[in-house]
Amino acid sequence: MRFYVCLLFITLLISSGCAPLQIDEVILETQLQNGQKAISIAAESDAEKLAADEYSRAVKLLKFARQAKDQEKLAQSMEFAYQAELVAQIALYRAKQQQARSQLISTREQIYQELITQKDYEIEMVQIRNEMKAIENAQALKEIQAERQRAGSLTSDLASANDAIRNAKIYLWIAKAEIFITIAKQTFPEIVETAEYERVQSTINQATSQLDRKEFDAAEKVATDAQTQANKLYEQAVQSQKERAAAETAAIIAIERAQLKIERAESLNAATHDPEEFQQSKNQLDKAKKAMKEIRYGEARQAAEVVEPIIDKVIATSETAEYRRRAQQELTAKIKSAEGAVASLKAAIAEQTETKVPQFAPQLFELATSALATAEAALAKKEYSATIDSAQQGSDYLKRAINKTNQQNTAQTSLVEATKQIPKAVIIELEEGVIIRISGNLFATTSTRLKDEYFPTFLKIATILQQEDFIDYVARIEGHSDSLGPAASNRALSEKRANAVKTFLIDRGKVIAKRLTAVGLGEEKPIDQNSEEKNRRIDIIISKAP
Amino acid sequence: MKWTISFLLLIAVLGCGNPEIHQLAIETIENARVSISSAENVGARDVAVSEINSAEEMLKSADSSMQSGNVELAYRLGLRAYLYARIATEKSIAAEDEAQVLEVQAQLELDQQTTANVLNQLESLKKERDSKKQ
Repeated sequence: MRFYVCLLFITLLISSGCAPLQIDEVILETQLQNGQKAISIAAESDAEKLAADEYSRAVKLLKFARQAKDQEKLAQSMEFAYQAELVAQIALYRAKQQQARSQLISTREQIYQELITQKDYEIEMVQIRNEMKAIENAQALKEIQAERQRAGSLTSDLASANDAIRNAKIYLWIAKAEIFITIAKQTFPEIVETAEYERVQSTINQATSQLDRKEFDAAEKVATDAQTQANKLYEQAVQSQKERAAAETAAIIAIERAQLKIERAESLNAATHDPEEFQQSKNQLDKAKKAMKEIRYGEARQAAEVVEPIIDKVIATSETAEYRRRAQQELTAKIKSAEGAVASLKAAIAEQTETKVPQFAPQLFELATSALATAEAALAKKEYSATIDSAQQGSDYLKRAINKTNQQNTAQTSLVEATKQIPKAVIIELEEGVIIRISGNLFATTSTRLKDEYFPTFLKIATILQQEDFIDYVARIEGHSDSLGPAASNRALSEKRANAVKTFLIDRGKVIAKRLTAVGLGEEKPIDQNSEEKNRRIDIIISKAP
Repeated sequence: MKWTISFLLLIAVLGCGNPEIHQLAIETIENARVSISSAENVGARDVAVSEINSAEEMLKSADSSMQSGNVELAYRLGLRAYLYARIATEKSIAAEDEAQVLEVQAQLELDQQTTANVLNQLESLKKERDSKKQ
């Protein structure tokens, strides 16, 4: 403050002592107003209180400025007014600083207050948490107390349970012992009559009584003994049952063996061949069966075993006698059979003698006849097997001959029927095969070219030759001429014409060449002395291949 | 410092001669220079640009007047430079104080929000406690 006052005086002295500046009044007035305005702005920011030094100085400077103006010291006034404005601005900012600092303090106080509030809340939260923890602890404590109570009751329950378990365990041993006894009884019922059975029952009763009296230690020991005894009893029953089963099996086997042998002897007519011994065996077997029924297995087996040597002897005797009887029967049958076979063959041969069989199958027929002779010779020598064999052989030969004849008959019939369908041909039936005769002018005079009108005739012949039934048949083509002209020429021409027919059958009829033969016979074999036209002909002889 | 200046000024007044004015002008200009430096240190270049610029211009003119021998004018310009530098200083300090106020107010808002959150937690906790009590 004193600094600014000094500064003010100095300024006044300088202003008064120095040469005055030329200042326009309007400018001065403007500066004065600016100074006043700056002071007013500072006052609005409460600078009078908050920056009292600067504010009062600005006011004084403005006051000096006005006084200087009144004294018409315009330059001095201008200087003061200007300084007043600047100092007023300083006061303004000083006031603003104070305001800001006050606000800062106030805000910080608020912050502290907020922090305090937060802490209060946090403290309260901690208290609440503690309170909750206390509640939880109280609940936990209650639960622990409840658990303790439960544990107390469980302890007493446990003691009861232990007793119950022990009781059950001992009872289980007793029950096991009883089960063993039951099984032993079922396995071998007679076990109940043994002293061991009585002893086990007594032990079980003792253990049961002790258990009822809750004498667990004693009951446990006795029940264990009972179980051991019962187990032994069971093993004994099993062993006894096995032994009995073995005896039963042995008895059954012995009886079955005896039974089988008696049946064998029966089949050998032992009742006829050795009646006394056979009956004795049967009686002995009945005795064994009776013992078996009465469960006397040992006795049954012994009785059955007695049967065996007796019945073996009976069987041996019966077998010998039966063999002799059957051999005699067989011989008689064989003689009869041999005689029958010879007679039968003889009759069959005689029956076929008048048929085509000797003709169509002469070799087979001869073999059959020969076999008959052999059979008759063997029969005379009492060689019955040879007789039967020869007769059978002869019979086979004869059957084959008959079959062959039948087959040939069938084929011949089919051939005749087929060839009858050939146009412009006359069919002459042979014993085996046929002659297909085509007479007339098959060719032009002296020509070897077959006329077209005869093509169907020869194509039909080719078709027959190609049939499955006649595939093993062959054809002989004979050319015949009339007697006009030289015989040699006629023969040559007839041969050429036969070959022309052969060629036609091969080329057009597709017949295999080796099945066909062609010959020219000229005028050698006329068939009608009065008709040269008939003599001019082609004869095709179809027969079975040799 | 201030008292030294006043003493010198007093001597100058008592003497009332030109050599004193000359010395006074030098002192004032020097004060203005120091004040400008102080203003810069408190951030006047950012928040009181026109004021510090005016101070510098005035100082420059004062130096110029001093060199041309116009001591009185140099004194007056130096005084103005000093006052402008003071304005720049006070304005910068005020701006910094106001910025601090804004910062603290923001902090206050955050704290208020935190308080509200803590209060919510507290309320939830209370409800939980009440339910456990039941």
